[in-house]
Amino acid sequence: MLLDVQDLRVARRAPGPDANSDTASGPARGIGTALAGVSFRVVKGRILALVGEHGAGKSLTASAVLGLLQPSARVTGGRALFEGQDLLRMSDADLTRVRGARIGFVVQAGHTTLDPSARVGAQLMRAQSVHRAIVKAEAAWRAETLMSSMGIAEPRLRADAWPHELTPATVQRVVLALALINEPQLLIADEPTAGLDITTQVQILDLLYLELRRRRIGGIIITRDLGVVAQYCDDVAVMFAGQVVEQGPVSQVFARPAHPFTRALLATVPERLAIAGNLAFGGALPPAPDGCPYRPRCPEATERCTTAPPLVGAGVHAARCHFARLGAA
Amino acid sequence: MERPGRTILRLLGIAAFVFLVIAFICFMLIKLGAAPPVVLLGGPNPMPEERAQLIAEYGLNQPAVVQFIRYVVRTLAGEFGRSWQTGATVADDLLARLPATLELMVYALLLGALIGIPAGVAAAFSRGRAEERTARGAGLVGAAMPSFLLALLLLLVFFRWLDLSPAPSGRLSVVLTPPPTITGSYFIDAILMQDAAAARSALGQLILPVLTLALLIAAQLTLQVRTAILMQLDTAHFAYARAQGMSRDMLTGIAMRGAAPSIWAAFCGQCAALLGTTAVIEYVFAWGGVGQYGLEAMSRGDFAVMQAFILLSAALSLLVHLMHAGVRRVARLRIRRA
Repeated sequence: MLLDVQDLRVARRAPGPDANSDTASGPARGIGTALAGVSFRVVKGRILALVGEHGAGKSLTASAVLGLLQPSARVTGGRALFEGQDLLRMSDADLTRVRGARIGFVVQAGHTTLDPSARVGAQLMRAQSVHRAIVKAEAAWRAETLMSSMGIAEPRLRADAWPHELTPATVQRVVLALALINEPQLLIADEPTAGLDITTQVQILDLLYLELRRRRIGGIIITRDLGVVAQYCDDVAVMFAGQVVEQGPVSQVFARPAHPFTRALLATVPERLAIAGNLAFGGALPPAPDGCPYRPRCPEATERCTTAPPLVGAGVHAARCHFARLGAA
Repeated sequence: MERPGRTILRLLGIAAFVFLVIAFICFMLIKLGAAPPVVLLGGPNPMPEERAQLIAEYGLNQPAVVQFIRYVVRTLAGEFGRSWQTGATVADDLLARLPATLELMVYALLLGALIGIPAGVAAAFSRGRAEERTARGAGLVGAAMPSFLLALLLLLVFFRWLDLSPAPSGRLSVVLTPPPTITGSYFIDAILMQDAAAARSALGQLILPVLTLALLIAAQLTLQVRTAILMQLDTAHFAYARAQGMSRDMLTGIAMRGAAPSIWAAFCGQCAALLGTTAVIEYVFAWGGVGQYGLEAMSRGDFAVMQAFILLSAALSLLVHLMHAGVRRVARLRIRRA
């Protein structure tokens, strides 16, 4: 077990007139995206997809695990065991030694992702020297080698470039290199291809997939694209309103979705749309009712759904629904 | 793409225009003064020969346009007329008093930046915690504090009550002779001359006025630097630097580099505004510098000195502006040339 997140809970302060309202922290995004007990597991050598709608708490989960929550949010419960150590109870100094070293992080890259005041090569070298003693020449060589295997042509030239001189696709490759340069055991990729050209998306995802497989490390890919899940991931955890409502191997979940939300999500895939007829989505984000949070939008909701559903499941495939339609697993 | 030559020309053009406007205002002070120009420039009771000399010097019996042109030309040549209070030329008076003021301003700026910038950075990094509220509160109080009041409070505590500081009676104890002028700073000159008594006295006299100015500067810098750093902390690249496990020192470096233009601008703003505050502090501590000279001229109606003091303030502001723009340009060129 590489990462075992158990019942992770995060509370978020409602935005309002507070002492820091003059700072540029902006409006707190998505009220009600606090996590209400998120559990999932990442196994070495396997790739887990975290899917769900915008605001379901996917990125918040990653931030909480890495100890990178905004000041307005805080962890209120649960555990996140990374190789047996609870990340949620680690001091910030210890977490600093985990982040970027044992857990690599890939973000949605854009022209604001890299430090604008340092050259690309310097950033790659800095990322190494911050985590271990390394000779400058070796750090530079490793940076260039990794850039090259990330598909960056002329890495030596690119190492001297400033971030604003790179295309978004190259920035994304540099971000991948930054995440991998210290040979982490776990890689978390949060919407790694959002905002890129379709063709570039495929290239980046192929690269990410190959690196994860080649290094036999664990991966979490946060995405809203079910095609990405189907093509690149081994396991999937479907999130809704700050909870994992269904999880299991991708093949099983996609073949026999047990939770109504998963079925609705899968029905949005174009080729299935024709079969499903009309969408089961509708309405705004629910105001977190008692019982099942998906109840207001669920076409199959009954009286029983006013009580909180248990996690129903046998073996690897499980769903949080009273009426989970688990296959004959 | 900007061309450096054009930018410098543009800046100098603006500077020339601003100088003309200020010169016009100074000129109009005399024209619109409550008394005849001869009295404003020559004192309450000028002698007949002085009166004739002033009329000839300023061309007071000629049309206003000619007077203005003469005034601009004389000013550019460094002739600011005579002070009827001291009897000396204003240029000589200013030169004699400038080192005292510069000494105060340089030390105050250094100390103020040394306190204010780290305090602002620390406040931003401790966002939402007690340290930030403390730094912010202190900054707000300091920024709202009238300069003379802070000076008097410090005098009350350190001179009157604790008796740690010497009397506010100028730059050196009255029983000592000033060291010969080398740099113009009594403290440095005394050290260079190995005059321990004078050095100690000069330092003692410096502490309170410098501390007053430095605290006022530090208060504003704290607030401005805090805001600048906070904006950096909210950028995507800073969040990503944290995700890479950067140490606190490296994160501070990244935020500082990103905020450098804003911090430089804040520092320059303090430089530009400093002469006015220094004048008040010089007055309180009987410092005998340019600021006190200008303030006393204003309260007594010594118009030649007033004109020169206003021009000097404007020149200082322009100089600071050019310094700000120049450094920014160089920094930008360094980044562009990649």
